[in-house]
Order: sequence, then C-alpha cells, then structure tokens
Amino acid sequence: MNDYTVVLIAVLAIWVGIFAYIMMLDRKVSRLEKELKR
Amino acid sequence: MKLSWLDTTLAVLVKDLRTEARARSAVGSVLLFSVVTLTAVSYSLGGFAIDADIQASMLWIVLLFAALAGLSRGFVSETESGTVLALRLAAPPTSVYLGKFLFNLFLLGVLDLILIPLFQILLPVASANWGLLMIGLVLGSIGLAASTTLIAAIVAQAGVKGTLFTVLAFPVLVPVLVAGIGATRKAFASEPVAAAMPEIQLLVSYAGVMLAASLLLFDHVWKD
Amino acid sequence: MRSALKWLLGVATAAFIVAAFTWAPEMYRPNFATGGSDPWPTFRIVFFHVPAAWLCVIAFLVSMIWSIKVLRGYAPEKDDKAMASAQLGQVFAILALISGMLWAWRDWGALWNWDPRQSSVLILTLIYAGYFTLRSSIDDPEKRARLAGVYSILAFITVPFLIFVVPRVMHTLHPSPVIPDAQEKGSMNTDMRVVLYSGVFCYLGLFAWVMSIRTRIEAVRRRLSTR
Repeated sequence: MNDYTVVLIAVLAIWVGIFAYIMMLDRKVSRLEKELKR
Repeated sequence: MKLSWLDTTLAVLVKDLRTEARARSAVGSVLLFSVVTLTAVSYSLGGFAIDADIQASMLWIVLLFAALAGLSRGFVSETESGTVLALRLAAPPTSVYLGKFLFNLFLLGVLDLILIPLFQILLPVASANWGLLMIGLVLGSIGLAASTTLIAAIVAQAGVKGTLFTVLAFPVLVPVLVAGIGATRKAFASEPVAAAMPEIQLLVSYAGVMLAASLLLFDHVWKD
Repeated sequence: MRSALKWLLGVATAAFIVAAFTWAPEMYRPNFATGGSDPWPTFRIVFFHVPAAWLCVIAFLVSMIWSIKVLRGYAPEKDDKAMASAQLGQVFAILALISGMLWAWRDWGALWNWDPRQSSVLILTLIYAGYFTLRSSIDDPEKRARLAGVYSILAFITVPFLIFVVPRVMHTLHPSPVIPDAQEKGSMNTDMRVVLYSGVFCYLGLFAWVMSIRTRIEAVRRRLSTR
C-alpha cells in the first residue's frame, strides 16, 4: 500500500462525497419542482 | 441645430475641464495622492540603492493607485450634482463616454507630467531611454483611461460608494500593469524601443480592445 | 438530464480518476546528475489541473455569452445562467490554483513561485470576485443583470490577455521554472492525451449538471417568492 494508492483512494473518496452531495441537491430540487407543479 | 458627435464629445470634455478649473478637486486629489504615495515609497526605501526593476514597479504602483483614486469619481460628480438627466438629454451615450474618457486621459497626462520629474528627484535613474518610457506611459494611460471610464460609470450607476471601484478596476488593469512595468524596466535599462515590442504590442492591443468594448457596452450602462 | 446520464457521469469520473493514477503511462524527467531520466509521478496532477483551467475559461465564456444575451433582452433565467456559470468558473479556477500549488509544493517545495499562468488565474479569481461584489450591491434585478452583465463581458475580454499575452511578456521579466507549462501538451504521448481529454469531458459534464441544478434552484426561488 504505497503513497500513491493512498492518494488515489482519498481522491476517489472525495469524488464519491461530491457526487453524492450533488445528487442529493438534484433530488431536492426535483422534489420542490414537483411540489410547485401541484 | 444638429450637433455632430464630435461636437457633443468636445462639449462633454470642455464641461468637465471647466468644472475642474473651478474646483480643481480631481486634479488636486490625484496629484496629492501620488505625491503622498511616492513620498511614502521612497521614504520606506530609505537610502538603499534599488535596481531598475524595482524602480519600474514602484513607478507603476504609484501611478496605478493615484489613477484609481482620481478616476473613480468621474461619473459620481454627475449623480451628486443631479446633472445626469441633463447629460442624458444633451449628448448621445458615445459622446458622454468619449468626453469622459478624454477628460480622464487628461488627468492621467497631468499625473504623468508631475510624477516623472518627482520620481527622478526622489528615486533617480542614472540614465534611461526616455522615448520608450514616454511611449509606455502614453499607451498605458490610454488603456487605463479606457477601462476605468467604463467601470466608473458602472459603479456610479450601481449607486455604490466606497471601494467597489478599486475592487473592480484593479484586476482588469493587471495587463497594463505588467506590460507597463516591463516597458519601463527596459527603458530604465536604456534598451531600444524594439526590445520592448511584446510590451508595446500588449499595451496597444489592450487599449484598442478596451476602447472598442467600452464604446459598445457604454450604452447599456448609461441607459436607465 | 436523464438520471442514467448522471450516474454514468459519476462512474466515468471515477474511472477517469483511477486511470489518471494507474493506466496513464509514467512521465519521465531528465536527471542532470546521472544523465538519465527519472520517473515523475507528480506529473499526474496535470490530469486534474489542466482540465480545471480549461473549464474555468469555458465557464467564464459561457457567463459572457449569457451576459450578452441578457443585455439584448432581460429575462431572469438568462441572468441566472450568467451568474451560475461565473460561480462555477470561480470553482474551477480555485481547483486549478490548488492543484497547481500542490504540484509546485511537491516538486519545488514552494506553494507559489510566480509562474505567470498561475498568477493570471489568481487575477481572474479577483476579477470575478469583483463581479459578485457588484451583483450583491444592486437590488433591482434588471439593473443588476445589466450592470453585472457589462462587467462580465469586460472581465472575459481580459482573459485572453491574462492567459496568453501576459505570460509571454512576463517571460522577459521572470524566467521562472514553468514546469507545468513546458510539459503540458508538447511532450505528452497519446495515452496521456486520452486521459486528459476524458478529464475535460468529465469536468464538462459536471459543469453542465451543476449549472442546470443551480438555475433550477433560482427558478424555484423565484416561483416561491411570487406565490
């Protein structure tokens, strides 16, 4: 488990976090839009 | 009587010059600011011998800050004295911009004329290519005046006091700063004009682009 | 954007990250002591650094385009897009700066070495910080769109000067160790280019996605305030 594997895993973890956050925002906005359509 | 745009431009310029001659506020504050800044700079440098690079940088820093201090109020005076509407009716936007631009250029010219001799006294250069120095200053001043006139109009329309003008203007003027310092540095090193071609090209293209863009965009800032 | 596309983007980006670290071939740099060349692992930062810089410029260009459109005829959606793309431009600029600083720190021990390109990106962030300051000081939406739009156009006009012309001029001032510049695309082989361009693609996808979310949020906000 050398240095570069650690960095790779760290960057991947950060990306997963970012992706999850953006996805959550996307879902929230979609929900709000549906609400307003009613 | 139909006035040509040249007439209206000159009218705007003359109006500002006359107001200036009466109160001398813009010229006064620009000169005072530059003298104070220059004194502070040379004082803090003590008696240390500084090389041409640093001298060139100092010159332009003082020039830039004096310009920012002096040119920020170009349109504010109109809003303060309530003459905006009259100006809108009397002259087409292009004339208003050009008139203000020329006035700012005049202010910068005065600034340059005072600053260079003062600089020579406080932080003298042994020898220099004065022609190149003049070219750098003139071209730089045109670019400076072009950008700052537009930004001053934006700030005045936004109705904001304070440092917004400096915040908006300084980064936009960085290319002028870099090229101006480059050309001045070469002038202080007594290099020929040809050696400063990249800087001169940058200054010319910046001035041209900014002037053209400002003329196109000013309508949108000026209309209400 | 379809939900599937978004998941595809997520997976593709993850794949790109892995490829940048593993599949992309090793870059070498000359070792002046031994006369041979050494592996240069930190070069891999380029795959994250360069696409960020590209997207920064693209985002600011998009902002200028929407600013021109809003000046032609006001519509709140156009202004939203101008603002959102400027925000993303800032984000990518900061990403570019951070990755650049990281690279400089690992390779040269200094976070900042006045590389002309780096300095230019910093100036860009200052320009657009001014854009947001201007926006926040105007209340009337139409006025805000108009004045900020003009400044956004002015701001982007300086970009070619800052990114292309200034570095050339500054080279006669400070011949600095421009490592990222020298190695950028000139000496990259095709496999590396593949990773680089896929990085650009992924960033582009992210840009489009976040832009759409941002503008949808603004639209919702407006609908709520007029209820």
